[in-house]
Amino acid sequence: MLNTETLLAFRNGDNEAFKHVFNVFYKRLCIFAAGIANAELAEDIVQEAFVKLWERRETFNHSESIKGFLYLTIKNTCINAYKHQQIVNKHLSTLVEGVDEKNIAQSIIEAEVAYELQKAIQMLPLGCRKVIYLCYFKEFSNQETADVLDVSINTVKTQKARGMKILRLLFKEALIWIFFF
Amino acid sequence: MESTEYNIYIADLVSKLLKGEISAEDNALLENWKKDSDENMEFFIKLTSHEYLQEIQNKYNLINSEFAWKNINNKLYKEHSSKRSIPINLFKYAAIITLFIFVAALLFYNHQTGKPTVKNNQVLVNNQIHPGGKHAVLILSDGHKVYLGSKTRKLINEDDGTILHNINNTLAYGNSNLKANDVILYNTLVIPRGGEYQLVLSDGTKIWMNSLSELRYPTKFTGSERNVFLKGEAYFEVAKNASMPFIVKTNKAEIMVLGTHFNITAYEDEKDVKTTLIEGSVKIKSQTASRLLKPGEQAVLNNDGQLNINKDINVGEAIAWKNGLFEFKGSDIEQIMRKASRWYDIKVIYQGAMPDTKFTGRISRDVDISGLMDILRFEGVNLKIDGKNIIIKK
Repeated sequence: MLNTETLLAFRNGDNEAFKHVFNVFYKRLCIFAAGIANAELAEDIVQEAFVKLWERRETFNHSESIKGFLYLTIKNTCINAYKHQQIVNKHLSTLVEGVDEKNIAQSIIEAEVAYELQKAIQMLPLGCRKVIYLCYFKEFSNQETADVLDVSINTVKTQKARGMKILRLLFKEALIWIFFF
Repeated sequence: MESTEYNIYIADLVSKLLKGEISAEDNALLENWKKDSDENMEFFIKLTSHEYLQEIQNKYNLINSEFAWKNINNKLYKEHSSKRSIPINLFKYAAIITLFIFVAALLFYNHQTGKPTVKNNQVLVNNQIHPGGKHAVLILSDGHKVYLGSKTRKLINEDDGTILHNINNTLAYGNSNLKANDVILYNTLVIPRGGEYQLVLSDGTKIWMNSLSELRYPTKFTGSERNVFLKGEAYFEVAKNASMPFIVKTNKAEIMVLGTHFNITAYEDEKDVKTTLIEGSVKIKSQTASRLLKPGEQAVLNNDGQLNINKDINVGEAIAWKNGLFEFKGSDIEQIMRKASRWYDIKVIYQGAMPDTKFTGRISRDVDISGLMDILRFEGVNLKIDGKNIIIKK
């Protein structure tokens, strides 16, 4: 995750290091927050959590504590926002979905798994990644993928086979679910 | 109560399992967690399904971290001075709108390229044209467009501080910080073909908007009148305020009310502008005439500017759409098809002379078009569905 140098630079107030921390955690935290709060509020809440993280950066000794702090801060803000919404919206018939423990637990797991899967795909070479993305996540045919990327259909087939081989090593059995449903 | 750390730990086990890196010990712990509750087991199965992983992956890829990073830096280095808050807001809007355009483009693109031959065949085989649903596009005062649908639940901020809630297929306007002499901001709600939507204005007036209709209105009412501008069809339940009359302006007529329930049909492809009063009283004004309407009456303004009052009308027919029905009483095929084409997003082609039968009946707007077509066929109309076209022969 975060190496010691990055962590040290972050604690010393280095903006580049902070950006690295941000990039490692931001998207999955958005998935987490969107699972328990309104989608637009979610991004604001996550950004606010990073501001708080920066303000007390000197107190973090390892990346696990940064992760824990971010999840906890976001969880608490979402619960407070939900309570606030209940008061604001009491005349409207439906409210934002409840923030309960089950919801929180599942949103955390969802966020972490999304990150791990994305990380595995990011490790593939770029051309390969594009083919995998279009073929499997966008469900394009080989020909459609070839047209979009402006390459030959044979290139698509080779890249697909290469990507699958790497992903299969990364995900082993799970890949059966992910790609060969 | 489970702690955040514990959930992160479980997430870690699930990720390890997915990557095939899980140890026997960890696997046993994960198995225990799955057996802890039916909820856990259910969630685990859902989480490891192809569809779900694909869905969260797509969500993940749509998050714009560039804007977020700029936003955070703005908050950190430019402090919270009020002057700075405007560009931050703009960033937020830009981010939201970019995301929407991206999603829309993706959906459109997928729709265009996703196995086109198969889809066309399906249309030809099934002839299923689905009914409309809850769709609308909100145009904010700065020209930005926000798509609203049954699954979008959001809070939108207007520049004057008005907060808009979009919940339960209803767009509702909250309070604003508007002062008496501030510039009034106008929003427009556009309902496409095949859409309908509800709106609650800042004064509490409720409006049901029908397909292919548009309403322009201020985010907050000031001055001595409440003016809104309508194209198409809408049903109004105007909040009472005797000192501030509510005026609906259409291309040809103005309908002035103090607090009442009524329906206006002012489509450009219909000959007449019809105002049907359900409760209260309204005054309808054309360029040349002005009439007061009583409950149960319908004012009809025709193309020549003539204003007539129908006393013997079926109020239910006029507001059936609001209750999810098509209702016809002695209507000809053209009238029926005009209504159908707005709701089902279809094109009607007449080959030869129009059938002159009159129809009376009622059908739910929730059925596929084949339901309506079957009834018309049963009544002896010779019609054919070809893709999005309905061909009617004498």
